[in-house]
Formats: sequence, structure tokens, C-alpha cells
Amino acid sequence: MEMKFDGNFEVGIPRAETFALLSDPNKFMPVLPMYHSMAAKESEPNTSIVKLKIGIGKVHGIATTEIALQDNQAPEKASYVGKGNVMGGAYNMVVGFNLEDAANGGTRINWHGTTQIYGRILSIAGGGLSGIAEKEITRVIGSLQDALASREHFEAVVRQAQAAPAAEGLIARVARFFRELFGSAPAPAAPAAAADATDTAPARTEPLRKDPSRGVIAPLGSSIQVDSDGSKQWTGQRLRRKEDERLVRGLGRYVDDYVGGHIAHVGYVTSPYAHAKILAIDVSAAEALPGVICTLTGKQVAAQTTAFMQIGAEPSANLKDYGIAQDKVVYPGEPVVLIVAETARLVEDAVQLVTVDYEPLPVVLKSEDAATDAVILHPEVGTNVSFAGVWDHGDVDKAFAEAAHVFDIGRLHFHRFASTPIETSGAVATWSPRGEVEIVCNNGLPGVTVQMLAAFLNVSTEQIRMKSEDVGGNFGTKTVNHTYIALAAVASRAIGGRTVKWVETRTENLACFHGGERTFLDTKVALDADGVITAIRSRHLDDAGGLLRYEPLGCSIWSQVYPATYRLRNMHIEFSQVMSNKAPCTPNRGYSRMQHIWFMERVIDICAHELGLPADEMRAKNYIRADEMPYTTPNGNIYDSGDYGMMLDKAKELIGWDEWQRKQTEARAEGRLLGIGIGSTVDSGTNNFGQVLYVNPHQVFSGNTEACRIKIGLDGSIVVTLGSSPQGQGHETTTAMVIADDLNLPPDMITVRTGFDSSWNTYSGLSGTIASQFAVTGLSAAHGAALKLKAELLRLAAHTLQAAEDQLEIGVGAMGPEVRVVAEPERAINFWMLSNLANANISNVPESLRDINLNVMDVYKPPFEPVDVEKKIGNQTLTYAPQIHIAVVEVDRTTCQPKILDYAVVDDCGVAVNPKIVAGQVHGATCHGIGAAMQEAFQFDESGSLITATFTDYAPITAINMPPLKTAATSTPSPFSFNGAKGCGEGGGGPLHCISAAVQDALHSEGVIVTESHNSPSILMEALRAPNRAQVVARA
Amino acid sequence: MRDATSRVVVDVTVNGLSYQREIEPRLLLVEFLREELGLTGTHIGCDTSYCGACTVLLNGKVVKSCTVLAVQADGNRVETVEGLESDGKLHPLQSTFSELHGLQCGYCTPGMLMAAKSLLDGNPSPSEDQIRKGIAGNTCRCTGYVNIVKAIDAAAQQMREE
Amino acid sequence: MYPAPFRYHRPASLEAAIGLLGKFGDEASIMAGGQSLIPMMKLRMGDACEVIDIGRLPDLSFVEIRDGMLCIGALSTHASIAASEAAARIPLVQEAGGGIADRQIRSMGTIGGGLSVADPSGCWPTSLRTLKTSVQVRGPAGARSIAIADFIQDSYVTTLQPGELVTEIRIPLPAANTGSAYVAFKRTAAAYPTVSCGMELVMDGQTCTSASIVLGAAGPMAVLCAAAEQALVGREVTETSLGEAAELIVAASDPPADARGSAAFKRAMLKTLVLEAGRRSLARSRGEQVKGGHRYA
Repeated sequence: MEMKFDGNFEVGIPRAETFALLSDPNKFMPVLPMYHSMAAKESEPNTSIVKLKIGIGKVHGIATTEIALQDNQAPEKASYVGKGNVMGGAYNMVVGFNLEDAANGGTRINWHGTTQIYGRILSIAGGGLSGIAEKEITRVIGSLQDALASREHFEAVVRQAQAAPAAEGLIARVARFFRELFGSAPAPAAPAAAADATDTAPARTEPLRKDPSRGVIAPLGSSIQVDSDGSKQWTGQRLRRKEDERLVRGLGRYVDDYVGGHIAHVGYVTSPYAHAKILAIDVSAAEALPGVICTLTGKQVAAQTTAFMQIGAEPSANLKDYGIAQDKVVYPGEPVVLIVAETARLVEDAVQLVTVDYEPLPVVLKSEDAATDAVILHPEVGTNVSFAGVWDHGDVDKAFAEAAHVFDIGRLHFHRFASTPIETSGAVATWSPRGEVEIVCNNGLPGVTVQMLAAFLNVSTEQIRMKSEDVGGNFGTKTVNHTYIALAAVASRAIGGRTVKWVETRTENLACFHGGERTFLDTKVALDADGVITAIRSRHLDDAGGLLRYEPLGCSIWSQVYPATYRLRNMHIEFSQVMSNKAPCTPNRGYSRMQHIWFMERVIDICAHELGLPADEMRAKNYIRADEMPYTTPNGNIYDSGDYGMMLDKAKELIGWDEWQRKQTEARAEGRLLGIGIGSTVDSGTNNFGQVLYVNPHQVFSGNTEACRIKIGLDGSIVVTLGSSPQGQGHETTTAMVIADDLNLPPDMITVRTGFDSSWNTYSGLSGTIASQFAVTGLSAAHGAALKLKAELLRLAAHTLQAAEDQLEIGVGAMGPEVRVVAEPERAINFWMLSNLANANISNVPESLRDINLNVMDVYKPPFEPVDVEKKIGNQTLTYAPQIHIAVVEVDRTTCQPKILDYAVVDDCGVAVNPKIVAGQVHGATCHGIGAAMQEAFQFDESGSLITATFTDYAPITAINMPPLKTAATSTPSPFSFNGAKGCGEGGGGPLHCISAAVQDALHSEGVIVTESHNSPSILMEALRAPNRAQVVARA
Repeated sequence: MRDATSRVVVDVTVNGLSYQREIEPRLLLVEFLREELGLTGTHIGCDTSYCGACTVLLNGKVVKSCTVLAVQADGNRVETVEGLESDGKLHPLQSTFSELHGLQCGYCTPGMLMAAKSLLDGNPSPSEDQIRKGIAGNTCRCTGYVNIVKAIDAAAQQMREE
Repeated sequence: MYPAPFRYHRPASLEAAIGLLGKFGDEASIMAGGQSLIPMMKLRMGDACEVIDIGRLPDLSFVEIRDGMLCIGALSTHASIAASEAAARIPLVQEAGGGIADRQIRSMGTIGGGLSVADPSGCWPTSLRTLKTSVQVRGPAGARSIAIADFIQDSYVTTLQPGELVTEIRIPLPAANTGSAYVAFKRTAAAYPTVSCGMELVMDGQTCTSASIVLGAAGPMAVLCAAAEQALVGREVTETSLGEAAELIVAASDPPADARGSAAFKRAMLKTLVLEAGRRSLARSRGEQVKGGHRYA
């Protein structure tokens, strides 16, 4: 935020003296009402460090300002240039004055000032800050005027101010705190020991938990079915989740739940600036604070690590990212100094004691501006464009030449938001004396992250034990918390391997993990006489933010859903990604595809409105038809199955389409703005990492993999481990169901260990929970492992029972799970005995069966072919789960507040392994989309400060904001997965599409087309004030 | 408790057990529960009293334990998710949340359960609107609140029948 | 996020609290329920060195009718006020208490704290300004009573002198045929009001004899407008006259543009809230039971 002030006043002192007073900070500063203390800066003689007490009402803090006198032209003019920090933010100011002789022998002071404020204070103080600042300035000028009334008075004021005991600042206060703590004894020599004492509780006398049977979690009761359909198959049953047994008792184990012991804590000094050069860093006061173990600057980190691998090709591959700023900062919230201290509280105390000297640089916020390279973020890259490529398929020129209608559509913009899991990112890291590091974290893609970490830390992937247990939501955002995890490992190594914990604060999370923003320019659409779209030509700019984390991979994955749900064959998209001074973009539920589908849906609705075609008819004309499935898109994606037309009919029925049409007619007659909008979307799941070659042909990823291991324990128990890192999707339950079906056992008898653990040796190079894939990748691996295990069990049992394998079955006997002869069930051997034969009592097994270990792993490898990099043709995902959303929205004429009057969603996730879990995914994705469409948006001021820096300002959607949902499911089994399931977690952003459509339907009569994905009342009010329908130009 | 010094001694009864600890006055109740008592079921989700993941009952009243100092709980009674189950029997809310899939990642769940418990303690038959308002101080990112609202309604019904 | 270190004091009596306040002066921060103070301390926006916890002081938590006035102890929680039968005598008060943030915050937050913070978007500063509220304070020099109009001097600034704290809020009981309402627009429960409006109407038959309208979060302080009130006094309260009053008072407001919304949106929403508060007040002046509650996104 920038503020400018000016004014003038007269004083009774002659000009030369006035100048002398005003140009001497030692005399001038103490006159200020908020003066606290002052010292000269040793290194720069011209510069003073002034401490001012600044506050809003009862809330006040000490602002440390470094000021230097510049442009000193006695006795006419001079100016002070200053910069400082206050309340977690930063500010710069220039205050100048021109002096003139006044009539009475006094002086006329003309003053002017400019100040820029940065940081979270802008968010917390809201829009009232400029008014408050204005009053502060008035107060300053008032007291200056008062003090300069006469020389005597002035000197008295200065004396008084200098004599007043300065209020105690934070450093003194913290030091005092420790002095008091240790009585009059001198401060202990070792800071670590000091803080240990601070935070060591008296000896524990009570058990850790109330529950004396801690560690033994009683089952919730029968987990079997709520609504059994009588089938013998577990797949398809609405089972209660195994996970719930611990989670409803508060016994989940999340990263932050590693407490006590000897854990040190990690935190960061972060940048208040969106773009600035780092001139100097002073950590001495922080390091002197008892309890602070060490600090690390970016340079210190870089000296012992290798910059993170970049996914993109040159020149973006030249980007040097160490997870912590080096010479400059490129977004607000970027880590600048890492601090390790005995407690999380001490870390925050130390953060306040670090001084960083910045030189602000011009900021780039808009994608179009970034693309001009007028201001370049990363000199080592030389451009802000991290990727540029053209997708050109079919014969676009011919289609335009033959078109009956052509529309030009102006700028469309998809906004920044994030799904902000309630658990923030975190990591606990410990180095062993053997040079191995154990990391507990909540990363979403550990298979890849292990590789990223190893290269960064200069160790082998096999020296990293990577682990996740319960994870409190992710929605893609934790895919790229690897830089922070790596820095936690660096911090542990820096303090001799001691365990450190880093848990992100919500404010840090909101500053650093944003979903992607995209701008769509120069769109041209060709249609035939019936309103069928034949070609689209457009230019898309994706905003990666300040650094590339898993980008520019997002630049390719939108093309998984290239034509969205539509049949058009001719497309020309010039796609680039640019870097801007905002938080690095992370994957976020619907990653990259929802932005593109939103664009396609805008095109459909804008064309439909201009042609006067109803939205449902327009879609029915243009949808890919059920009889065309599997359907190959112009760029080689194979849509597996689905009947979009039927789903639309079902959604219309669900919402009461005809009735709403009637109500809409009535409402319009009353002058009300009521709209009905459809959003058609597909969620592409199980991606082919080969598409990364579109952005960098030298990359070494292709296809996809996921691992599952099943072992029969020595006591016959069945234990399953997975390579996935679930965050609420119920992997324990669905995996047990699939294996239960394969082994003919109840899911309760199958233990699925939660989370990822590289020491289980159950993972692949691409393991993780991302991109709507577990139902296919993870469950296929579970199925594969179960079949392998079953084969081993039958082979071994056949020998023992002296029966042919095809006469055997698995089931539950009196002694637990067993293999038995179908015709003679009493001829059986249980799993305990079998495990014993395979692992302990092996001499009784013939040589030919000694390869059996009853510990099997399967890695699922979907049937992907390499992509054609030149033509950008290839199958990028295995399954496509469509959803049709319909929203009825009324926009209040006075306030422009949109209100959802009715909402329906129909999904097709293929065969639902557990319909309860699938429905939950649909609900959650719908809520994220509604939140984003209606109330959630990251907002910035012109200097790049985030003004939605806390949850209170960002205001994520709550139960009172959610409309009731009408939901229904259809199922067209995927031909490409063993069980007909499709990935469905991301959902495809349906609410963003249908709410934009409904708002446009409501406002089109007022000359408005919807060009923003965010529908806040402020945006809609602006749209109604300046109708933009003229942006759509029809050409014959 | 002692007079104001750098550290203070507090006595807090949590889920029926009494605990005494010497702590820094700045320690938040949620940190006290998690770090001092090892009761990690109560979670931290934000910095500004928004998300309600840390919701517990203080003397029977629903509060956000990230916005209460541990010293404010001195001499008082705290109930957390770990105390919901009694005599090996789950609270009806715990059962219905699981049956109706009112939780996914489970991170907001303890706070949501405590908020719901306090709602039902004061109003055994809330309408849907009252349920939504009753959990308005709790953010869930997984469920869209659809099944949470159903689970609270079902638990209320079950508790009325008992 | 955690507060910086501070020293904690829990005085046993009001007198002791006043003594500590005097002793520590600028360094002292009063904590009642802590619902405003603790988040600020966690964000390290404040500089609280000596926290004086008055939350347990005796005899400051009550909601009662006394001498023709609704008297509310400074330590009464928002929840206890919302649930109070005495407070129900003035629907605006009950509505304000019941609409602050969420149930958790209302359990702990107090009226004395909410008023003393003097946040321009706070519910108590706006709602109590609508009525002839007086604020009872105690300090080293004894007790005094401050009219609400004089109590809040600016954004976050009150007239409380060093060593003083709020002990009680007093509001004269309304005359017959009086109706009042307080309504805010909020994005979510836990978010601060984007804008809000308090209103009190005294009716004589169809004619309004007295009107008080106050806008919250519409400028650095509560916004009042004599012309807007005059647009109702002596007239029938209708959509038209309310609309005129709304136009006048909103023209006098200066809502800042921020993350909660643009100034234009806030003005439009304020007009709607004035109408809504007017309708509710009018209905209540006739003894009708009207459902309260805020508007949410």
C-alpha cells in the first residue's frame, strides 16, 4: 500500500535555524510524539537508527527505522529516506521539506511524504489503515509545529524527550525474562541448556493419556455395511471406514503430534516484500537469545546443498531454488532466514530479533506484464516465461474459413485461491550417526519427493527414510512442500542430527501455497450454423508465481482435458507460463484442468447466449456422445467412458429444471436477476507422467506407477502396506475391500498400514496421492499383490493338503483365515501354519516351493505409450470421471450479492469401490469449488502485499455458506481399470463452471458476460456498472 | 496459583483427571493439552480463532483452545475429544460421524465433535439451520459439511431416544 | 503462532486491578476473555508486557434490570447476554451479542472487552452507540460514567484514562412502542462484519417520534447522520422513508475498500442493512416477534 501526504505550516524560528534543527536527526527525531530511542548506525555515518513507538489504539509495537538525510541543500531543502519494520511488516518512506522565509521572521515549512507499507499488517488492519496512518501523520506534524514554535520551546521538548526513560523493547524484555528465570545468576553459557530449563515440565506423574488401554484401539463395532445390497462382493458396499476407529477418538497421528522428548523447532524469518534485493542480514540479536540454537541464511543453506531439480527445460532450468532466498526475494512470505530454537515460541521470539535490509524492486503482478519481461524476477533465467508452447490440432484455419458464426471473446481470468487443508505442512527430521535422515512429514508425492530431497541434500535416496502417517487434508497443496521438508533436514544436520520439527503456521500457509491463476486472451471461436463449435483459437497465460515448484508441469496437464467434454477437433492454443511476484503456484484440487475447463465452459455459455441458444441445448449439441466412447481427443487422449447427455438430463431432473425455468421467467418479470447455469466437467485421473516431455523433452519420467505389498505375518495376520500417502480418502478401507474380495476374507481381517514409509520398501518412483489416481493405481497394485499372494498361498497349501490348487479356496475357519479344500472344508491349513512353512519351519517344504515367502509386492504400471512430443499427441490419463453441476443463482439488484438457490450434481466415477467414500469426495470437491466461486480469493494490493493473509481475512467456506446439495451418481465402468473404477478426487472444478454460467445467465440481460471465475459481490457490482458484453464481437 | 512471576503453576482438570504443571504464562491451552499432557487429539489449524480445530469445552462451555491461555483454565475443568468415550462406549456423535462418513482426513473432527457436543448439550433437537450455525466456528475442508450436518442430526435423534 | 513472553497478573479485586493498571501504565494489557487480545498477541501485533487478567473479578458478570435500565456487567460474555431474558427487553442488544463471531468466541468474549477494543467493525461499539448507553468505568480516581458517544474517540481509541477499566454498561429501558435491531453482513461467522447497522425507532401509532441509526465498519468510527434520522422522525416508517434515510446516512459514510469488499459494494450493502434494521425495528415496535440474525455470504 502506498500513501502520499503533503502540507505546510509556519514556525517562529528563522530559516537557517529551522533547517539546522530539521536536518539533524538527533534534534528532530526526539520531537516526534512516538519517539522511543535513537542510535547512529556504525557502518554508515549518515544514517541513524530510530525506534518509534507505533500503534493502533491499545495495540502498539516498536518500529525500527533506518533513516538517512539526502539531498541536503541548506538552508532550502532536504529529505529523509527511511525504511523499517513494524508488526511483522515493513515500510519505506521519503519525507522531504522545502523552507521559505515567512513574514514574521519565521519559516514556512512545505513538507511532503510518501510511504509504502508491506506485509500482513495490511491484511489484519484491513482498509482502515490509511485513515489511521493519516491521523498519525497529522499528529507528527502537529507536534513538530508545536515544538518549533520557538527555539527555547524546541530545546525544552528535545531535552524532555531524551531524558524520558525509553520503554523497554522486545530484546530487553526477552533478556529480562531469562534473567528473572535464572535469578541473579549469570546467564548460562550454553543457550541450549538455558531454554531447556525454560520448557522442561516437572516430572510427569500421570499417564500420557487418560485411556489406560492406550495403544489398543477398540473397533467401532461391526464395520460391515450400512446398506448392503446382498452381494457377496465387498466392492460396492457402503462400508464404514477403518480409519475412523482412531480418528473419531482423536487418536490420529499427524506430524504435529510428535511432541515432547528432545525436539528442537524450526521457523522462518520471511519477506514482507513481493520483490526486493537482500542487502544485509543481521542475526546477532537472534543468536544471542537464550534458547536459540542456530540460524541459517540462504547462503549458508546453499553452501551445503544442491539447488532443487527443475522440471522445466532451459532457460527455466537455470533457476536456482534452495527453498530459501539467496540474493533477492520474489514473493511476500518467502523464507529468508531459518531459525532453530528449543521451542516453537522461542523461534517466533527470535524471528522478531532478525534484521534484514532490503531494497525494494518493482513488482510484477499481472501475467500480461510479466510476459513483457520489463522486470525480470530471476536474472539467471533471463526471462519470466518459464514455458511456451503451441498446441495445434486439426485444421483450425479451414474451420474458421467455413464457419457460420465466429465470436471474438475478450480477456477471461481465473483467480487465485487455495483449498487450504486444515492441517498445514510439517516435517520432523532426524539424522542418524550413519548419515541417514529420517523424515516424518505430510508430503503428497513422497515417491518423487525422496528423489528431490536426495539430490538437494547430496545423499542417496536410500539414505532417506521418508514417512507419513495421518495427513490432515492436502488437495494437492502438499505435493510441493518438499522445499520446507528438505530445509528441516538441513536444520537437523546443522545441529548435529538432533530431531527438529517444522510446522507451518496458517499465516505462512496462506502466504506460500496458492492454486494457479490463468488468463485467457484473444479467444476466437468458430461455430457452424447449428451452434456446434468447430474450432477455438486462443492464447493462455498461466501464472506460476515467484518460483517453479512442480512447475511448469502444470503447463502440460491441462491438455489432459483439451476439448473438455466437447467434440470439436480443431484447436490452436498458444500456451505460456510466466513467473510473477506472488506465491509459487502449487497443485490444487482440479490442478490446471479446472482452469482450462472453466475457459471452455465460458466459451460455450458466451456463444450460447450470443446465439440465443439455451445452455442445455448448446451442450447437448456439442457433447462427446456415449456411442463415441472410448473417444480419442484431437491430442490423443482417450476418454474411457461416460454419457454426458444422460447425466445432463439426470441433473436437470434432480434440480427441477423445468420448474426453475418457470420461476426464472416469473423472477425476470419482477425484475429479479435469477440465472441457471450448467457446468460440465471431467476429472482426469491416473496421469501419464510422460506428458512432462511436452515442457521438457529431456525429462526422464513416463507412465505412472504405484506399489502395494501384502505379507502374511508369522502369526498369520495379513498386513498390507502401500506407496500412497492418503489424506482422508480412505485408502485403508478401500484397499482392504479389494483384497478381501480377492482373498475371500472379510476386510476386518486385513490390516492396512496407513501412510507412506520408505523403510517398508513398498513404493515406486512416482508413489503418492495425487491427481485422482488411487482408485486405479493403488487399488490395481493391491489387486495385483493379492493375486500374487493368493497364488503363493494356493501353491503352498496344495502341497500341504495334497490337493490340486483348483480344488482349493481361501476362507475363514475356526483358526482364522485358511486355505481349504472346497469339497472337504475340514481339510484346511490356516495362514499361521502357511506362514510358518514359508518363513520358519522351512525344512518341511520341498525345494520347489522354497521361493514362496508370502510377502509379495506388486507395482502397477498402467498401459501408457510414449507421447509424441513434436505433435503433442498421446494419452495423458487413463480414466475420465465426468460430473455435471447445475446451480441456480440469484444476484441481488442492490447489493449484487449472489445467492445459490439450488444446487445439483451428478457424477460418474465408474464403479465406486465404496460409494460412501466416493460421495464424500464429490461433496468435498463441490464445497471447494463453491467456496472459490463465491467467497475465497487471494487478494493483493498494488505493492504485492497479500491482503487476505489470515483465515479471518481469507474466510474459507463454512457450514452456513454451503447450500444443501442434491446429488446423484451414475456409473459407466471404465474399460481401462481392472475393477471399472475411475479416479474422482479432484472433481474438475464443476461449481466454478456452473456458478459463472448461472451468474452470466442472471446478468446477461444487463449486458454482462462473466469473465472472472470469482463472483464476489464487489466484482459483480463492477460488472453491472460497466457492462462488458461488447467484448464479445460476432463476425459473420 | 502463585503470584505473578515468570512461570506460573496451574491446576487443570482434563477429562476428569487433575494435572498440575509449572508453565510460561504465554502457553496457550491447546499447547498445554498437546505438549504438557500429550493429549494430541486437539489440533491447531489457524492463527486467528477461525477454524475451530482446537475446540474444547472449558467448564462446559465451548471455546477455541488456541485463544485461551492455559492460565485461564487454572482451577477449571476441560473436556477434550479424548474424553468423549466413556466406559468403552463411544459418544453417539463419534458413532454417527463414522457411520455417515462425516469425516475424511480427521483433522477438524475432534473440534467438530466438541462443538457438536456442546450444541446438543444445549439443544437436544436442533434444526438443520441451527446445526449449521452451531458449527459455524469450525472449518472442514474435506466433507463439504454435508455428512457432518447429517451425523449431528442423527446423533441428536439417537440421544433423544436413549 | 504464539504470544511473546509476558508477565501474568490475576488481581483478586477490582481495586487491585486498578492498582496494577496504574503501576504498569503503558506496559499493561487488560485481558477479560482474551478473544481480541490473544489473537493480536499471537500475531505479535501488540507489545503486551504485563497482562492483567481481570476475567475472574467478582461481581462483574451480570445482566439485569435495575432502576429502569438494562445493566450489563463488563465481564458478561456475549453468549450470556444473548441468552439473557433481561437483555431480551432490548432486542438490539440480544441480537448484537448473539451475532458476534461464533459460539466459541461468544463463550469467552465479553462486552467490556469488545467495547474497549473500539474496533470500528466490532459489534458492540456500533450497536451500543445506537442506544443511550452509558459506560461505567473505575480508575484510581474512582468511578465515573461516560456517555457512549464520548467513550469511543477514534478507531481503537477510547477515552479510558490510564488505570481505568470498564465495569458496567447501562442502557435505559426503551419506552413503549420502541423497536430496535442490529444487523451485519459477514462473509462467515468467524470473520469480522463487512458492514453493519444498528437502529432504534420509537413510534407513536404510524408516526416515528424518534430514530437512531448507526453504521458500523463504514468509516473510522461509528457513522451517525442527523439528517437521516430526521428523514424518519415525524413521518410514517415505510420502505420509502427508510430508503431516504438509508441514502442520507450512507452518503455520510466512508467505508474503506479492502479484502472484505469494495467501497461501492459496502455502500450498497449498508443501504440494504438500514432497510432490514428498519423493518425489524418497526415490527418490534409493534410487539411483533421478529427473527434476528445477520446476513452471510
